[in-house]
Amino acid sequence: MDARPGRGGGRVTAVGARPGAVQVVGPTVAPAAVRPDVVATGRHRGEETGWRPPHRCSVQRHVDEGWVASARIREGVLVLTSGRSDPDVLRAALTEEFGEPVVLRAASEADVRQRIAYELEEEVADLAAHGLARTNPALSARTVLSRGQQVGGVVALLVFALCLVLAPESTLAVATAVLSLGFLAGILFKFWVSMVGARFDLVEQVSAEDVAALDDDALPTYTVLVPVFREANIVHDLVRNLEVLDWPKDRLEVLVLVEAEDHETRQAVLDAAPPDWMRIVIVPPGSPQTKPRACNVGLAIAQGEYVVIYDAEDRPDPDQLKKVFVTFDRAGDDTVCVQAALSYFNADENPLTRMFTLEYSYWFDYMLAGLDARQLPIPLGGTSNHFRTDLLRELGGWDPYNVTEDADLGIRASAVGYRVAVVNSTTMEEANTSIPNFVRQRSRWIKGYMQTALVHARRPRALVAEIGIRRAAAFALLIAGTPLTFLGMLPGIVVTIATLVLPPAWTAPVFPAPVLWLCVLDFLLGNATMTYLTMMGPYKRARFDLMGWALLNPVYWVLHSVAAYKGLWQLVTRPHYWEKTEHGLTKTTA
Amino acid sequence: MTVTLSHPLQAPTGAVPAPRPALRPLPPVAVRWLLRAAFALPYVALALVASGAASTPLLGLTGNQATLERATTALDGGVVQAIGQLYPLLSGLLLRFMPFGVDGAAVLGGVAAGVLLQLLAQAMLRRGLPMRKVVAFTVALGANPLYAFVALNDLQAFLGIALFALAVVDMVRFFAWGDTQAGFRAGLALMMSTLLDPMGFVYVVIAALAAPLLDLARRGQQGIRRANVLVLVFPSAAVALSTAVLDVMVLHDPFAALRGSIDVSGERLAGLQHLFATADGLLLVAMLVAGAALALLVGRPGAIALVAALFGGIIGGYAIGLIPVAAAGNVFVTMLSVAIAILPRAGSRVTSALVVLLAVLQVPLAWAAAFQREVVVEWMHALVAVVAG
Repeated sequence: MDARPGRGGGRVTAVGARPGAVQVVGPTVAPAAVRPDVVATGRHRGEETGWRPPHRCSVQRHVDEGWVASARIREGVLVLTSGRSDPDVLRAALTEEFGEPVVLRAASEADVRQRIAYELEEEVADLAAHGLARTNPALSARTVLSRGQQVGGVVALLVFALCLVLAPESTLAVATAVLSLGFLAGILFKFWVSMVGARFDLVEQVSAEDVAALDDDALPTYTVLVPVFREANIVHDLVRNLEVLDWPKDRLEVLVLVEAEDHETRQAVLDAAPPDWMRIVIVPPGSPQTKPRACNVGLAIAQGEYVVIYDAEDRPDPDQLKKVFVTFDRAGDDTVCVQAALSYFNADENPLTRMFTLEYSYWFDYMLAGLDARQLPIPLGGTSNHFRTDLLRELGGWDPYNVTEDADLGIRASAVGYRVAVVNSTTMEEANTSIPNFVRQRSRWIKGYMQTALVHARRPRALVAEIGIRRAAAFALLIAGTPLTFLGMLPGIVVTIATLVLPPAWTAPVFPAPVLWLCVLDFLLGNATMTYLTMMGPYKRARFDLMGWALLNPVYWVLHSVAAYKGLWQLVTRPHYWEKTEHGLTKTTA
Repeated sequence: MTVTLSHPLQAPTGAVPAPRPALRPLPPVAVRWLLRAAFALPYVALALVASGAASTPLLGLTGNQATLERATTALDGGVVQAIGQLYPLLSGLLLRFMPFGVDGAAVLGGVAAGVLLQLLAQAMLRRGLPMRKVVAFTVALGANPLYAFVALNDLQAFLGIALFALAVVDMVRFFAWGDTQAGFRAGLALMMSTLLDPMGFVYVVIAALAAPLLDLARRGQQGIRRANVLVLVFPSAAVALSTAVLDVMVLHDPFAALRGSIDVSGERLAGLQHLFATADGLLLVAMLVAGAALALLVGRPGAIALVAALFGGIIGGYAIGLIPVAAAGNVFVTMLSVAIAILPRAGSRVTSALVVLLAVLQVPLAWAAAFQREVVVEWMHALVAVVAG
């Protein structure tokens, strides 16, 4: 244990701090709780004395009862309480539990919760990393392939190899035809869903009048989680981006989730002089070091009735929280999440950002609207997904082992009968400006889709029983179909070029000509369909200048295909590795 | 880094169309299908009657017969021949595998005829046209031998025309109401028409040319017309390109499908020359004049260009072999269907009455034209013979 100078008076004792852990920025304890005349002992405050809270109990109990043992002072154990429990009863009960005197100090609910994350670092870290895997291992991507999937996979490979030996031409023909049809089916499904969504692009689900009619006094607390990691270059915009949110600030809780090792970002947040409704939460060191694990830490202490995730560079519409509140109010109690649309503020920066914008436009403005209208499982987008906090906790939070924890959560919610809705509000993000960064980001997304497909395919019969054959098929086409179509893109190009360039006599022994022709035709029409779908993107936002760029979609898909192979490789070699996307690269200026 | 923006960051408002009367809601699905069945009933009955009629050399040259022969030759001659000769793909497959061959195709055409009438009537009602006008135009289109002849004897052409008309209905909704889904439906309908009928490519060109003539809901949004045209033509272009690639692979000729469909012969040109020298030709021109008059009456002079392009396209299509020799009624059905598809609500009562009158005049015009076309007359005689026993 390393000793660090305390922030308050006197030297204090660190309890439970790990070697090398530096947690200079602790929670803001209410002034009354840290009197200068008190020799406080507690973790992270000075030399190690071996003191620990006399009784360790669950994080949930601390949160529910609104207290946390913070330090030892002369009079006994200092307990911060938010007043949720009757002070006399709490004091008596804790004195009995601890076997020593207890001194209660009043603190705000936010302070207590932040202190819980701080004092119960190990428990919080454990819960964030292993909570889902422990309570429901079948739904966690901690294990890439279940035993059944391993056996099934090996058997399938053996059968395929045997068929190749016995009847190579027929096997290749059938395999090619199946892959080819799968490629087309995945694309046609997306097109159909987006066409359904296109029916609603003029529909304003929540209007400005609906928002204006809300009574601010009746609004509940809303928690905004902002996981940041090595983003010191952009977090100074965070305050500006979030302070425009139209929500009573006394009921707005912004938790900036900073990894313990990321001093630079933490300092950058502090330098931005965050308002009192914005707090830094130190995410305890641990593995896997992923965004969902950080979000789970935030979720453990979130006070809000609703919780939303934003990235550091996000610029949500000012009225987004209110629109979501109205949407939740109108939706049934089974609606666990409302997804806002994402778009890019640097769309015009280069061809890649233009393609990215087109893709996001069709996805968020049409695809998700279509999935919503047909009540099909919705894979959530990376940010701007708003949850009912209690239902999110009930679902087990995010899977820290899944690198597209958002998509996984949307499917998991559907699997237990909850609904995900969409709202007509947008968050502006930064589109990837560089191809290597893009490939890194996509490889993570596609790997995450593979993880999600594998997780929910572990119990196919149960999945069908839970969500029905229609939704299960939609899940298969969307979540499993997306990586497969991307994986099929490069071989499709190779086969098409080979067919055009090589003499038929060379290809005939491998591929029977009719199958080959049909596959090429299917490949061409599949690409055309996807290009056409991309053309839908500009309509909702009237970005018709981007229309012609949709013709480059096949090239854009080549990048996806490269990323898909990278993602597949990582799924085998580093399944839980979080391929970090670098933000703040844009040069967009006025 | 301070990120400053070239655009303001407000939520997009681009999709909000100009104020416009809302489309009327659709009737229940069951009602719609009952109406379709009711509209289809007489045509299906005619198709069943026609199945017992004796064929003649001329009736053996109708569209359904020609398509069936083409598809049979293509599909029975191996894969390479199929790819080379099967275009248009869908109608060929449809006829080749249709139970009862041309008789089955006639029944299917009868069903399609009823469905098209209902859909066009529905489109007029949704746009707020009064019932008398809806009835007048529906009767004008459906209650004549030309409509029945095309539907029952040339499935390929009829489905192509029907899809084109429905595409035009959706085009109007796309442009004038800002309905994105309708625009993409129109693009797909045009693509389907190219897969069913070589005339589909003529329709695609006409649709693209008509785009500047349509009212635009989302005015002031830069590039919207160009984008809308791209949405309309892209699927058909993609199909053409894919077919060309396949033709290169298989036949080493990117235009193989085109060559298989086009047939410029002196006989056809002479036939056209003869046509316009007779009353039949005059009746065709009368249809063109009626279309232009309708465009003027409803205050859409620009639509005259569309009517003229349509007329020229169909005549040109016949000249280069995209329409079978024993065809009749294609001009009438196409032009009236498209007129219905774009017909707006009329302004004054006088205008409205004149529009209804023009619609009613189409009925004798169509009957007169039917009696001028030899193949239609033969077909009607054959039907009468069956009924008379």
